[in-house]
Amino acid sequence: MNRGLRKLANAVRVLGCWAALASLTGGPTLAQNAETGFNQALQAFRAGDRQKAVTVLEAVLKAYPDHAPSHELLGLSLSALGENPEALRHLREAVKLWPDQPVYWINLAILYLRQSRTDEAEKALKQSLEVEPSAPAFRLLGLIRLDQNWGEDAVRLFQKALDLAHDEPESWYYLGLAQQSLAHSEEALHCYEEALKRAPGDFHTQLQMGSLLLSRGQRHQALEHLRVAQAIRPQDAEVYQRLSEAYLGNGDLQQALESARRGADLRPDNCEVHYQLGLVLARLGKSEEAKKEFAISEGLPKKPETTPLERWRALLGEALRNNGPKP
Amino acid sequence: MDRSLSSRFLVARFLLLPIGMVCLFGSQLTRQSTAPAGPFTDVRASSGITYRQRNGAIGGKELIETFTSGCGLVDYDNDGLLDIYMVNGAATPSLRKEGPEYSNRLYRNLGNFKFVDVTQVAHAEGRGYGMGVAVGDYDNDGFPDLYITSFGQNQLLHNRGDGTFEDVTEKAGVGGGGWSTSAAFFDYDRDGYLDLFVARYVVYELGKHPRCGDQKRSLFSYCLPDLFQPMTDLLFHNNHDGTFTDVSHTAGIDRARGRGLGVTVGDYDGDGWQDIFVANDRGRNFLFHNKGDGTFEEVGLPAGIAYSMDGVARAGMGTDFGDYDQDGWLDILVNDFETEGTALFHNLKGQFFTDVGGEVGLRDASYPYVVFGGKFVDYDNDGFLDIFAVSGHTQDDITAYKPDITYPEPKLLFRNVGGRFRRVEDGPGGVLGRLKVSRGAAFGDLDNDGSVDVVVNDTNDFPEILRNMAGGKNKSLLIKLVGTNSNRDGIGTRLEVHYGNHVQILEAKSAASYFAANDLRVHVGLGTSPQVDVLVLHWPSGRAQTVRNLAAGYLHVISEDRGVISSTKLTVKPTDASNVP
Repeated sequence: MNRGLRKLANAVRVLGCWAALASLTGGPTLAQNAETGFNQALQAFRAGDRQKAVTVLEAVLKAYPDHAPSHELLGLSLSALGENPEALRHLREAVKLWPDQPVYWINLAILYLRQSRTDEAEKALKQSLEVEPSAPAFRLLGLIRLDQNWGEDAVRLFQKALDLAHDEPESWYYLGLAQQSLAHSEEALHCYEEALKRAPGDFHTQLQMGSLLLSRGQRHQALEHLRVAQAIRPQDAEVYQRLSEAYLGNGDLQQALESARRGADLRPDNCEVHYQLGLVLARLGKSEEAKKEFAISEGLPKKPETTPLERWRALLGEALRNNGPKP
Repeated sequence: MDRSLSSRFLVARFLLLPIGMVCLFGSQLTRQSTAPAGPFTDVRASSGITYRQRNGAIGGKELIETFTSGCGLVDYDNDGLLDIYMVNGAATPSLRKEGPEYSNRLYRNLGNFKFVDVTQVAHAEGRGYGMGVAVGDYDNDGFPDLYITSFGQNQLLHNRGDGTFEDVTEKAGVGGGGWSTSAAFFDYDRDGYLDLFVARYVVYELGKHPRCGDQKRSLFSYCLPDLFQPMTDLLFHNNHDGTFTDVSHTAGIDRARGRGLGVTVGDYDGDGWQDIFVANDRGRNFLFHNKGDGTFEEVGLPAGIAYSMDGVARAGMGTDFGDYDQDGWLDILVNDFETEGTALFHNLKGQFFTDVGGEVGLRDASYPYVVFGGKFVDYDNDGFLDIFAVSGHTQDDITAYKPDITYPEPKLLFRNVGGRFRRVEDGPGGVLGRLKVSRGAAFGDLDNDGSVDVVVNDTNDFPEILRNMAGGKNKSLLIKLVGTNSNRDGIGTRLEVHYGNHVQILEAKSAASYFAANDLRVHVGLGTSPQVDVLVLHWPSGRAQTVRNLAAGYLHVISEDRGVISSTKLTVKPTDASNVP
């Protein structure tokens, strides 16, 4: 059976159950009630009222336990409320009821990723791709590979995501990260340029581009991107640290000092920012002040390295909200 | 029909086999005779060197196994040819050299890349679990001595001048302890006698480490060094009577604790006093500034060499001082771990450093590799310092964690082109692309042809004796220093080499790279220049000496009080240079 027919058959199976149920329980009223209830919950979900969505969906599922879209939306709502085990149960139920719905698999994978269950997430994504190749599924798999330090495979997967959706800046950004993980700086720069053509206001891409240019000694170009990043997020300490590095490299000690001080004000618990401030002060001949900053830096815990997937995980709540249910 | 076709095919296969074998052998012969011309070729197989490194691993994943071992170049018999000293591991958990396979090896150079094992005759087997080696004539008797670092007690082998060594560790008081790594002989107080600096790694006990790795996948791997406390380094002052005093505390060395792996010495600020750089693993690097009063101040943080540009601690390993951009100031090379990239700290007039590794093209090319031994070396004699480095991952099961990464890794040769570094690669079958688990690398002119060769110690493998095939296209010379008021080896002498429009700043030293001792003679690449016009030597004693018109193609022996005392023609082979990158 080809993919389209299989999807249709499953849809008939899932929807057919509701129709049969409706006919047994007095015509279309109950089916309509399920749809009405689901739509009501969806509205509440989109409005940010997760608790209301949960209440409505639980009522719908009590009457219609096989209503896959309600299971999926309930899973997403519970996840947003932090009730992950229950959320997972409902998303698993959704994919069981409607296995040919690729978005369900993707959302299930996202929930797994949120709990660092990478192997299960990978399986869910592969299921999604089996149903229908999609850019988000390839992108998520790419992120998993990047997290597993398998840069070459990550590049391949992000490229597949781009083959399906050439204009998605996210895929360009992540392809850039994957290229950078392989020390392919030229290719990474190209990817970030492509991402910025499509989303010039993206903070992460501007910062990444600026940082990469800085590490290559291209300080003037780096400054252009870092200043844009600074304008987008004027409260981000890392931008000021990078700006300070760039100014210091250019010999602009006053600007380097101002940026480093701003970074340290914003993140007094960040050891790298204090180290940078110490370096600038040392270059300015302010040895005692420099020593103090170095001492602060050495006394602070070192920032644990974060992988792209970890960074991405932190944004998953947002991703789930944006993704939303697509029954 | 099928069957008949099949049997015909079988017959044809049997008939073809011998012809195929002839073709195969023929093609191998052809390949041998037209081997791709690379800048280096491995001559170990024909050299008589049969030593094979043993790390003694028996499955316990002891951290010491993955760091050993180094090697050194030393003309122990003063016959004018550099001999080779290979440091070896030991059995675990006994940490004893339980059989000859664990012995360190001393190979006497017979010339033309032929060596003979003289370990036993010379009493140079070593003891315990060896790490690295330092070379220096600590008693100024004209014969270079050996200091072998170990996990446990280190060993000072005094060269008796008759082809044998004597273990004088106890008498000299330099046994140290703990886990010693790289060491350097240098004269920090300029009293004419070589002192000794010893870097140390972590507080470690065999069998006492946690089980590291990925338990879910039953992967048992080497632990990260972060789990173990860093150690202080050691400084021994030479008492001029064959004994040393541990001055680590009074000199200010023990105020800093790090996971030291690489050591090099040089006068980075041009004040006439030798400073010490220590490349630390997963912690800040140290720059011990010599204050000239017998004490040091660790200035790595304000100098800007402690961390990467963005303030992150890296895994420093092999290191070297060298003026790669010929601005008159010694820069610092630090080999680092995979995904960190090699650091090149550019010296900003003796006060500050800035990491230009990314800017000059080193970072990206070295980024995938765990780079251990390596130093500045003008491999093509064009007058500019290039970089040669060796690599190999620390985790023997790394591919299970990172499918793109392998345990054995290639060598990295970077050619200096106007202050930027371009990676030089050789073709299939070349030694640079060949994957090995390399650790120590020692540099020196083994055949006195004016080009720097390389000896590499590979884990659980034969060493590589890499003959330089690229130097012959340019001119060069060697300088051997004989100190009289200064230490006999002239270690710490600064050489200003003037020729044509060029001025090179070089310093005489042996300690650089990783766990290694390098040729004490100073190698000078001259490009097309037929001579050094003016050579100004600043000896550690304070004496400045000027020598003129030193011809290329010679080994010049220069005495501190008598000037040039001999010039011996090098066996330069210009034909070696054909088709060599």
